[in-house]
Amino acid sequence: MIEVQADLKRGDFRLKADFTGGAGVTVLFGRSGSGKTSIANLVAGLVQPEHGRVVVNGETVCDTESGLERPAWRRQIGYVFQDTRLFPHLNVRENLLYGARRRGVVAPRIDPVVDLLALEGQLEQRPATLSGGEARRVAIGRALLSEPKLLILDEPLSGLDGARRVEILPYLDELARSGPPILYVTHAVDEAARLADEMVLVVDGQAFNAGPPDRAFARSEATDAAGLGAPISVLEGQALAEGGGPVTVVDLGGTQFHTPPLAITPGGRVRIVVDARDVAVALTAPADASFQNALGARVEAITPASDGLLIQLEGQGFRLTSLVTSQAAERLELRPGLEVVALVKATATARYA
Amino acid sequence: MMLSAAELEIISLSLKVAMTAVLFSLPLGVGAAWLLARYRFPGRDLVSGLIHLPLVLPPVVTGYVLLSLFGRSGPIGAWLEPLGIVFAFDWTGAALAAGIMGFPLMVRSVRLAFDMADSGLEQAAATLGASPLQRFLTVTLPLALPGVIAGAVLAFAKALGEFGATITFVSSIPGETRTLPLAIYSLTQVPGGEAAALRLVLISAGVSILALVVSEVMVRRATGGGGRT
Repeated sequence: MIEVQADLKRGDFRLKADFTGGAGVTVLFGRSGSGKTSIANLVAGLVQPEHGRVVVNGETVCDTESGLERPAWRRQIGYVFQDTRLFPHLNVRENLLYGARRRGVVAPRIDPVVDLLALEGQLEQRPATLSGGEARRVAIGRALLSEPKLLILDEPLSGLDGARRVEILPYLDELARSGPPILYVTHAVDEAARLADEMVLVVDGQAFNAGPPDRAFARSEATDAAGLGAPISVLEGQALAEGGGPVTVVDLGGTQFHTPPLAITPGGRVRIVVDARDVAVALTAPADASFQNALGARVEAITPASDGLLIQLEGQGFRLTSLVTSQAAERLELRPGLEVVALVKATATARYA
Repeated sequence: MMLSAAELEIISLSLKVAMTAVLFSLPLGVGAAWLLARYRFPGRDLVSGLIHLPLVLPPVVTGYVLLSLFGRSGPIGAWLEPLGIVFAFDWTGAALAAGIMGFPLMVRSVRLAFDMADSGLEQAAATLGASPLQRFLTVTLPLALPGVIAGAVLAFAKALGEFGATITFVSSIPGETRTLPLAIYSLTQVPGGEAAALRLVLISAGVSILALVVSEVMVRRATGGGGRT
């Protein structure tokens, strides 16, 4: 759990951070150069704020008012750096043990973490001989073994190709589920949508809470920061036990949603991302169309966008944003409160879970 | 070539002086290099200048300054004498002179190594709970080790060859302060001493080359021949 209210100055660059994070995964989301890493460094104690305070798990670690500044090495905050920063003169085992040794643990147990991150084969290797994915896993393991009260992950998947990302993501899921509170720095939509419990947007020198991903990505700041052409919707639900078929059915909490087959065990939580351009609005469900998903919803709000109107829809257990032309909206006489049907092709969904 | 007892005495005295000089100046040199590489403090340029002074001053001047400060009647010498520490006309004085002359070379080499060591790794160590001293001992120093060894070897070589400051400060007393270069010089001053001088010149070259080889092996070990670094 973290609480940050601080003004940061890095050269000419000023940043105002005011946000909180819970026990799960808090994602710091913003463009490259927006100051995300500076905020992570502030929390870790590697940079000092001009003024303000930082509270981690109820403990104030920095407060310029009272002159309190706990040094990084006494904060018990694990940090996985973007450039891994493994110690080149130590092998993987010694890197993993580094934190425990500093705390004076005589016989530290590294097996659970080695198993979790599948590092048995690399223990005697030097960092220079590791692949990019292996080095990230060692860096994550090293931070975990220092038994942090908070784990900071700074773009842990950046610079990795698709296969390496797929290699690491399951470990991040596991961490998000069973690990310490996480502060996760990224500019990637898929990582944020998949992992975030709470999103903190870092935009134009401001860092602020934007709610869970489904709410955060409905905001234009998030769309802009992500460089997306249109808003996205994040749907969350539970995969139903109808495996083997041509589609997977996900229960969004009262509404059933069809997606292409997912490699997920029935009952597992899943998040689905839908581009607003892929959502059509109809007044009645068409009987003879290919749309797999015809979801009953109500128009909540209509806001103008550069290339049409954004229709905010709310249904049983989900929120969807649709981008339609103003002509289409006029023809259907769309207005807040109207009951409509949201049409989504099953194949237009991307799934991150 | 068989060595005479007198030659052996000269060699062992020279090695004793040079090793003592390096042994005592190494921790100080590493500390000074660390301060200069990692901290900005008032008077930093002054400290750096003082350390480098022996490099630019004529060695005789350095010897003279040492004599004025550490002689029996000098401000530091007079203060140290009741404690049983005497430098004047003693082999310890030769070691002091040799150490001071080699100090700038050592600090330069070690500081360069600290500059090259990635401070990001120190930050990583900090987030893993390492105190500043632990970070220095477990990360920075091991990474800078080749530079530290190189600095020690430079200082050792300088100490072996030091002449001007030594002869000014502690004179050339056989068996006490007459190291290899001083002995060679003395022999060239007496008629018929050329042959004996040549023998010492060859010995001196041999000792220096040996030191170089040993240092090369140590640096290789420190930078990881055979997979362990």
